[in-house]
Amino acid sequence: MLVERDYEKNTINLKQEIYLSDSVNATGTTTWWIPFNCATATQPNFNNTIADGWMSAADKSISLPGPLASNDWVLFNKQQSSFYRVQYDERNYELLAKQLNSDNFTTIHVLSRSQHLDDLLEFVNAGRVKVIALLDVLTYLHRETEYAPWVPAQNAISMLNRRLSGSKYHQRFRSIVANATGRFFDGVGLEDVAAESILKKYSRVIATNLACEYGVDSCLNTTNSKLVAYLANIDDDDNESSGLPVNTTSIILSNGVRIASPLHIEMLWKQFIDVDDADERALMADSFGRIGSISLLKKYLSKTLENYPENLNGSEWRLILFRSAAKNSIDGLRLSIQLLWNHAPRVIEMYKLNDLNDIVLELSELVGHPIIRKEVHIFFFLGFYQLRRMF
Amino acid sequence: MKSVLFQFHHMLIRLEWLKYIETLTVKSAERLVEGNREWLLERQQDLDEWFGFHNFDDSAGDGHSSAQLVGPSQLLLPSMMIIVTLLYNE
Repeated sequence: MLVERDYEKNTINLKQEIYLSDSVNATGTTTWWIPFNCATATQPNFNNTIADGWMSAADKSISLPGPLASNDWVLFNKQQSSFYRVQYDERNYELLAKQLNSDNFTTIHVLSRSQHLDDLLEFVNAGRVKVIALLDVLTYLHRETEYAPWVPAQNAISMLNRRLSGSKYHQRFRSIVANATGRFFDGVGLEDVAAESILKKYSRVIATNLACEYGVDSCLNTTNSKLVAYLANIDDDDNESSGLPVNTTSIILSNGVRIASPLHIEMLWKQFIDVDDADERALMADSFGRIGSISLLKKYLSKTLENYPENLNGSEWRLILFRSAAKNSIDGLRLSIQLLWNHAPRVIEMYKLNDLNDIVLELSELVGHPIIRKEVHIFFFLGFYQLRRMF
Repeated sequence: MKSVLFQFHHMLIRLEWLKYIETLTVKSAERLVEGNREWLLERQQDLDEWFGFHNFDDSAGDGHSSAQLVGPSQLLLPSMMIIVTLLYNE
């Protein structure tokens, strides 16, 4: 649904059109009966999600009287009560962002905050809305403590990080995200709290992963301390698991390793070799792909080409480590490609052919362009097949 | 003689293929960087304003050169060689 306000005549024009992410092919003419409701700055009333009216399938657009001051925001489809996205005009986006960036941001219902972020991300990706509308909204996140808005926020941060990577904007973007995620992390902490909601536990995972990824010291130091304590306990207990909290094992392993010393990473590698629990080993394999030091990341990525005891004969962990390195940083992606390129014969020996096929497909999705993606896949596959026959 | 030629042929294939893998992956990465560069340039004015910059300084990036796209001619030789070799080996 497209919402365009006439701020002089005080009217709201609603249009419906089929929405496809690929805007080039969005040429459908299908229309629907659409229930609509709206909240405004002066009458938020988010709890009432009954339809205020319907747009019929025969209506491409309708005009509503807008009992709004020109500086009041309007938000349609309260709590995302119906299954459609809502796009606004530029000024209304600014007004919504202003509300979100105020102390009274909770005037907008938590589910609508989530909905608004998710819609914005989609429209920015589709080139329908300016990226600054999304940036305007991201700046409110340092106040946000709820899980629902952080889910699309996490996706938006990931997209912007990829887009802005390598540009002069990137450092400032990272600072903004670090500020927001740092506060989020400090709010939820790393310790499970008795009787807290399941959403709080989910929030902890998002907060920790984001805050550590964006270099928030408190997050990096806390997870690293937990990892070091974990490794110390393993040593004391003769390689028995120290029993990290179930809900935070993953985030402690994967983030604690980011600033870990070479000694502690080597201790973790030893535990990785010795541990009997396949799930724990998989978590550790994933964590090695997140090592912050490029030289250490290269070292442990190269270990996927070595022979190991019988319990590590399976190639699953090699795949997990490789994928983690390729996905978690640009440096990791470069190192992964270099590994394939520099050690092709050994790679073919140590990785299963089907796994290689998957790896190459994923790499091509990470670095590739749609035009050559298919070729990368096909030719890599054929190439490895050829190489295997040659060696 | 036939064996020597066969080995030589394989060596050429291997070298060509490894070169091709490098070309494809490196160029793919460059295309990704180029895609981002285009995305940034289209939004330069808005982003400059939002982030408080006034002049877009391209050199402030990560140093990647412009993309040199993988063209059909580059695809043709290795793919033909692979196909011929596969047929030959069968």
